[in-house]
Amino acid sequence: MIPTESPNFVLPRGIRVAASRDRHWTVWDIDRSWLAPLLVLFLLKQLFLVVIVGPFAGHDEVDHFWYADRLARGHGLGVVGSVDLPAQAAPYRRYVADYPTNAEVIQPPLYHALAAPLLWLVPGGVLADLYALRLVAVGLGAVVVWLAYLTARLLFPTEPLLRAGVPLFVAFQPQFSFEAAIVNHDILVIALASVVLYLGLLGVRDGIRPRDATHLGLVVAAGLWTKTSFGLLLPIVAGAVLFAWWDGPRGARALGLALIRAVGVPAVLMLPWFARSYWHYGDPTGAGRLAAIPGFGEQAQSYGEMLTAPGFWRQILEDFWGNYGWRQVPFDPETFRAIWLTWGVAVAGLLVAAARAAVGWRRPGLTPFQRRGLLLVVMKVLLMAFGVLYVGTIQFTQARFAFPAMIGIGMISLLGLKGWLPARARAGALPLLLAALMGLNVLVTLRFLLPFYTGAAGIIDP
Amino acid sequence: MNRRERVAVLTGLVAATALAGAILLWPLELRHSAPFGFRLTFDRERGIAVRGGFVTATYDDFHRVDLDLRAYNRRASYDLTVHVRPDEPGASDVRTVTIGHAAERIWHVKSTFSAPFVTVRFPPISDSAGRRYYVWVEPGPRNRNDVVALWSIKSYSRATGRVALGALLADPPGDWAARLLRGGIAATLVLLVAVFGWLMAAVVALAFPATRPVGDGNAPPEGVR
Repeated sequence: MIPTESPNFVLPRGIRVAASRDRHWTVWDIDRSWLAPLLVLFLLKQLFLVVIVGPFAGHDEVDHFWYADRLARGHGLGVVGSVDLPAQAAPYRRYVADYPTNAEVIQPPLYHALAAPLLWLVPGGVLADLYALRLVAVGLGAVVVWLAYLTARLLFPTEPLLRAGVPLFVAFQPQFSFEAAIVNHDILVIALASVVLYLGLLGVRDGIRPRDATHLGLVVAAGLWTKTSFGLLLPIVAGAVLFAWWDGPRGARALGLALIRAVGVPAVLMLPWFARSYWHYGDPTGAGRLAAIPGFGEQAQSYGEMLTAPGFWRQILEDFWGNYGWRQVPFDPETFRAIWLTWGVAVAGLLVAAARAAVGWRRPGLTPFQRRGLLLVVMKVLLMAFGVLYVGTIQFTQARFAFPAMIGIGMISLLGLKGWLPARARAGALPLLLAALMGLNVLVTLRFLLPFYTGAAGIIDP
Repeated sequence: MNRRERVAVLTGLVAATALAGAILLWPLELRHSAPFGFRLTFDRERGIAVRGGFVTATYDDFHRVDLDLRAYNRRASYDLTVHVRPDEPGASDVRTVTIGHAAERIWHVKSTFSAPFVTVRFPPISDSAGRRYYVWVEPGPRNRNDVVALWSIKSYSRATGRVALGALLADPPGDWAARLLRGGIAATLVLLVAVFGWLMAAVVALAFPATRPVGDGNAPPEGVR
């Protein structure tokens, strides 16, 4: 018999960890039957996207590709303004923010450095290299779907609606699917941010040993070396360390060392890049240089302007659900409205659950670990949302900057859906959720994406 | 195979069949290719708004235009005639549709979340794929002196997914190994449908376990002792 926790009965950590691990293995026997086809379906769907999306039509795909190509050729990191795209990029100039300048060389180089060896290995020309890197994005997307499952299982091992619903949400979210089919460092950021959340939650449940803190710190460092905005996750890491410490022996030295390993070490490892950016651009992240990109910096707004502008929120909502390739392939207004209405009603279930709890109809039924875990999940979503707004103060911003919190967004959405449903009907909602998400993907692919790039008037080539 | 497994497999088969049927047979309104989804009509050279613009049909059976109309006079209603004409010398209208809208429906200032477009459907133009059309709006007799402009146009064909996929397979992207690519795309699509059925069957099996489902608390799921 596996002992279980409840809001009123908290197991000692050692027993809790052993029980959770036993349960995860048992749940795995059940879940692998649907997880395998989900991952296969995701890969097939992504392969199809890779083929139909026009070459270099993804946002910043030209810049990221030739940043990696530059490193593969041993041309060094480069500085924005002094690095021009090669002549081969000229046919795709309409997809470049600041042609002929490669503005993405302002980003830390981990993604591009990892991509460089692949460019050496893949035979053929530029397009072969492009599609090879797109396949890497597909693989990283599959890792995120897998992590969505692990994270949901970690927090809600006995809730099939969440265990299956969260990875379904992530796998079929249209704009996330697009990110996982184009050459872009954001998909690596999303994957690493998902690893950080999972390791952090694991630490909250099981405790964080020095080795675990080091692993967490190394993943954070990798994220920072991929995109400096990864720094927004540092409070989540610190929060996880604090929760883990709270349940442990609580020595100040242990806490200090864990924080140094998980938060301090990655910050120190990032110092050379910050110093380089400061040297070249006058600030540690290069944000000032990004603001100087013609047509981009002019769109910067204050936080107040963004928060109070309905047009800003409409754009963010459109970008979040599907505005493919430099916003050139949006859905139609009626499709957006149907999605927003459905999503809004689902998320409103959180209010229903809260109201039920407030009037005493039903207790939330969360264990202390689940409460802490959800706090970290919500914190991550809020921090990423802040990141979207912060970018908006520098240049035009997009909802995809919040996608490192996609698993959290999926979890909140599914918790909202759960709030509406009686316990017996919850798992039964899963086939409907799958049908709805698949239907959405089929509809937007056939109605908007395929006709944009293919057919008699399609513009697959620039 | 027990009853639960049979139900799951049957549901998966039905789901895969329904998906294939929906893709191949369900009529959809496929939006023609245009950056940002629409064609701008703005006259750049003269810097003025106009009443017409060009669209290019991606597929046959061009049957719908969405017009971003902007009215500037607070009149009770606008009577308009929408003309669709091939962009060819001497061509005459192939479709004309009369529409009427209150000024506030097409007022030039639109709220953020309102739908800016007015949908106009007409009998499908059968041989439209790849052809360019001039779409223009003519005010009715009551509105001859009223200002109305057409800011942008979206256009659509009524077709099934088979048409969209057929166009992809007929001319797959890239300049090399077209036959191989065509076969790969077709195989991927068939597998997609089959794996969707597999996933649906597995999800149904998860959703309706043999024993009583897990409740609200933290009881272990089916199979956990």
